[in-house]
Amino acid sequence: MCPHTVMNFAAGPQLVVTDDDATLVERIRSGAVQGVGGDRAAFRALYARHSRYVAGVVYRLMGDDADLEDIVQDTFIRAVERLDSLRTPAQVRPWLVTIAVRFARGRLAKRRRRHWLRKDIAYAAAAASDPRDRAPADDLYAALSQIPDRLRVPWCLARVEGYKLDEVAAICDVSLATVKRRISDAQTRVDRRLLATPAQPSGGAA
Amino acid sequence: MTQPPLDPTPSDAARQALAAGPVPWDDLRERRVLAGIEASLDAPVASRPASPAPRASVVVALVAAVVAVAAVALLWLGLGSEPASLDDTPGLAMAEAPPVRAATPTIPDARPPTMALADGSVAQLHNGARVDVQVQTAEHVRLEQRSGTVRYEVARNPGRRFVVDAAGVEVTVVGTIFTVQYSGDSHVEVSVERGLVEVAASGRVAQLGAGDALTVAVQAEDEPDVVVMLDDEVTSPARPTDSRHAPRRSSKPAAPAPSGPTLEALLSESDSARAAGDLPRAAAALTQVTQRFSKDPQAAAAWFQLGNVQRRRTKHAAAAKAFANCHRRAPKGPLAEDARAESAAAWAQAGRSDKAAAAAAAYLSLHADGAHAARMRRILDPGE
Repeated sequence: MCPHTVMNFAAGPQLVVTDDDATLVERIRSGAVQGVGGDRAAFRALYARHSRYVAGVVYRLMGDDADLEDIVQDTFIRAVERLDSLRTPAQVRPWLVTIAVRFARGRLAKRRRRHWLRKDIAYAAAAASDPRDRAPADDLYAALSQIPDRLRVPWCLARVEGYKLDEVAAICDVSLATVKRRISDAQTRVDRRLLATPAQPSGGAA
Repeated sequence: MTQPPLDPTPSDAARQALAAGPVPWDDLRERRVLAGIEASLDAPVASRPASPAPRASVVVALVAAVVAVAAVALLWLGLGSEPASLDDTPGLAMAEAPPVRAATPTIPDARPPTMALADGSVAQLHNGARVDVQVQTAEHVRLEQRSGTVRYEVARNPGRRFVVDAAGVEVTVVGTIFTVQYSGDSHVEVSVERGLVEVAASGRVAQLGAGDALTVAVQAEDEPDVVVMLDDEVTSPARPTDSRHAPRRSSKPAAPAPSGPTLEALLSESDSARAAGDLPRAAAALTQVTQRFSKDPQAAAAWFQLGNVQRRRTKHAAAAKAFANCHRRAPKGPLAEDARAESAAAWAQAGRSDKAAAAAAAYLSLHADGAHAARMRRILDPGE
């Protein structure tokens, strides 16, 4: 008996991603990944390419990572189930973001309802490696937690993620005029609350 | 995906801090979520939630309406399953986006069963995992993991011994998050999210930090002589009296190849050296791996590990080169993106701003939206 150890930092199959998104989508569609024996490699490649990006959007939208894994998981499951509805396979990333944003909004709404019921939930702000960097994000999420999600989501997508207004409108499934109005409204409310927040000590930052 | 410059607002600093902050998404999370997705996709379609029922008779519709009202009430109270509500304002529809309706639960298979223990610890069961509670007292919790993958989030309690036994591999922990995967035949895999881990297998000891994973292979026909120890990085369990926990020399070291130690032996050498804090010896072993087994698929991981070791030795330039070799060896491997970023960061730590900037720019050219993009932009523009 001589057990051996194998370093396994990169556990799982080595993904050699060469196909573009459109090809991967077509491979998944044709392989019926839902069933055993489908083109699982294509799905894994697509997941490897986009999961980090989707996770980043969700994390910044939510303000913490409590629901991060669930939302990313739900997003990709729903994407596979509804892949046939994707008309432009090359645009799979914004499509995934659209799905993720909807799940995130559901989670935000759920949190808000629970908060309304219990009134005792401390808001979990985004983590940061340096506490001095965390104060602005804490303040921002404290402000965002006080505005409706229908304003928060487009504001985050436009002002934090940098999406164009028409992209935000598509993701949020509202008109361009509506999204402009909501972002403007959110900006006003966030700024008003941030201005009302006492400035945080710098903690000796240079 | 960029916008024209906007007028400065009070939220600008916060937005910048937020956009530049790290995203808590690592390889472990990526793999864990992928496993959850695939487990759900592999589940029978019949077990997934059915589509909304078609229009029925008036009576049925009335009953459905009552049920729907109750369901909406439950959802509103936060007791229902995942809602993912739709926007309430009609407007420009994105036809391609799959609708997520408020009353539609998410895939139940994606929610792993959870076992809550009396001490506050939680075990998430994946892949048909089976866990039996053998002991559960205030001083001692002992679980036997018979199969599958289980993610343990152990409540910190130095006064309580928490042990997971998977096919003879014992994981002892004070308080951390880790996952044990037992395939049922050939190996046990331990991956760590938080805390510091020591894995001992027949005298060879490896130290794993957060984000590391280690596979311990055992021969099924024999009882595995494997001990896995986990320490929290703050509170270490006292174990000098337990002979199983003392680092041991292997009684049966791997047979050396004619031309020198095998890859396996070198990796084991590196593991034990790291566990003993002998970083020069670990670096030497890993360097041998990268030189003698440069074509092996594990070479990229060895380069990455060498980068970590050199960084711990504060040899930042050497670390930067090791990370660079990692992504050169496997430019599309799962470690490549991280290696590119760590290479730039290590060059910056070494004070080589020119090389750091070049590496950061190279990262951004490949991963403009990557997990480390904000870090890389800060390297390029420290005043940003």
